[in-house]
Amino acid sequence: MGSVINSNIMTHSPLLGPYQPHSTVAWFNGTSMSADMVLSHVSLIRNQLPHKRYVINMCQDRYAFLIGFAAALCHNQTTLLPPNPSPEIMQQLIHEYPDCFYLTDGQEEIAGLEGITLNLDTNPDHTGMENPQFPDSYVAAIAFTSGTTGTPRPNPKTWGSMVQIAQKTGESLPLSQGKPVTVVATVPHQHMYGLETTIMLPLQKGWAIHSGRPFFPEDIASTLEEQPSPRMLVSTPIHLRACVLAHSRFPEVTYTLSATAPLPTQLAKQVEELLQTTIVEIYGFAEAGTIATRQPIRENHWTLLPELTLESQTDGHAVNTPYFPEPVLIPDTIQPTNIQQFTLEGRPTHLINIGGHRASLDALNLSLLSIDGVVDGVFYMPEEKEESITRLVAFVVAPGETVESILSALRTKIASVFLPRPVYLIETLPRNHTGKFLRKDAEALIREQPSHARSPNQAINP
Amino acid sequence: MEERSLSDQTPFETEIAQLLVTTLNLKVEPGEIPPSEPLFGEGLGLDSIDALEIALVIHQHYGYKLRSDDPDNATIFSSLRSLCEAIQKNREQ
Repeated sequence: MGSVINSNIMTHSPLLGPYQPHSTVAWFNGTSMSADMVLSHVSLIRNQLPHKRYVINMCQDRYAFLIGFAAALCHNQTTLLPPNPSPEIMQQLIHEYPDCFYLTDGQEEIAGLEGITLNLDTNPDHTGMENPQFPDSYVAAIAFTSGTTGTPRPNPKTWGSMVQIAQKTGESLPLSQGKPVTVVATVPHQHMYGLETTIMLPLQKGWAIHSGRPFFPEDIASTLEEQPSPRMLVSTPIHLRACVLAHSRFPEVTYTLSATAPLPTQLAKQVEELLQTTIVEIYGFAEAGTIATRQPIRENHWTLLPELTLESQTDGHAVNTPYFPEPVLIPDTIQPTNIQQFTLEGRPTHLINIGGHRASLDALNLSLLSIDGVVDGVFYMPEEKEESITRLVAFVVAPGETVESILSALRTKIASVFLPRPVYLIETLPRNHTGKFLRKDAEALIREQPSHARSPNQAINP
Repeated sequence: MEERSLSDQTPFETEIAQLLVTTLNLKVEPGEIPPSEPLFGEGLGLDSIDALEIALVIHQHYGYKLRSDDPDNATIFSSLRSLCEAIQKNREQ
């Protein structure tokens, strides 16, 4: 199996799986963008790119991101996908990958780095570019995870692996043959889940990509309404829960994908009813991408994508595929039920997931301890409740510092979802004889602190 | 002239501040939220998950559905005061 990657060197895969010049590849500002128009945009943008090796694609518009991503591939560049856009992460990336520039659609910028702004209109000059083919072994993207050391850890993604995952994910969906699907997504495209399901999956299946990212339930409903049927919604439990609670009117959504956190069965049922949809949950992680799917209402177990296999290792289970150079360790605790299926048993306590953003407590603690003036400190995850999103708290020993100064420093280092609520400034941290900070001590500290907030369950009158 | 609390909140701003504190489980007194300071990022430190929660609870209490394609959004979420003004303008009577 060690020569699998080598044997791929000469194989290529196209940007657009099925290629029909006039079929809709994307809906951009309400306009259907045909395959030919997309390829024209790609070749026009490719000619504007600087001769750099790496690109950080900051485009918030999904169509602009797609064009930038494809143009970079055509220009032999690799797209870097930072775990979050915090200034410190960006500076670390630029330090590690100095031969780098960024792409923007005008909404975001990176201080101190050469940037190219994509100005796309809905009627590009026809360039006659053909559907490009890229080597399967080419590293198309590098997805970074926050890692346990605080430094972003690179996970290279070959073009071949991204194409394979898109095709196999497509095969595992309960799709009926027929008209192409239009994909509407609430998730960003700069993470692996979003990139795989909202860019690669539609490209490889010949489906249409909606360029927006509707956020509130009302937006999601009206955006779906504006798309031709069959529709697919790519989302997260947080957004799906909001849709159910908002009582908005939804059109029929043939397929709904959910990932980033477990979808409670009750919520899955409500979503299937509200959207007249079939929900498929995706399980994956940045190191491997999507590895399994399930229909949460109908099955408890997860089924691996075709041709993937599980391996037992000393520190857990790993997944192997023809497109990985070596087996990849699964970060959650799983229980295989047969060669192709497993159940999720939970995640190790040092890993946390808030609203689909994953981090290791060790890495967050390192960020906290790296702040000037912080003598000691830990992040702590209170017991999670299903009805609301539980946030981290932090216990910090920092004589002379304020909660505001610590939050301000943290804001440059970690993603905002991980900012502690609240920061408890304390005199010393009760660590046991081995230096560990115990859960019971954390709970005791929280009880001791004056809390201004009422219980979140307490009803208030409007 | 509406009555203002010590922190310069109007009674409706105090009502919404209480709603935010309860919904988002914030560890501040509702009356301590400065009505003109940013809710997101630096100010109160809210993020997009909070925005969804706020939208839901405002819809439940006042029948006003927030939309992200509303051109006034940047203004609506810029502070407690502007959020309150948007709710009062759009709430179901």
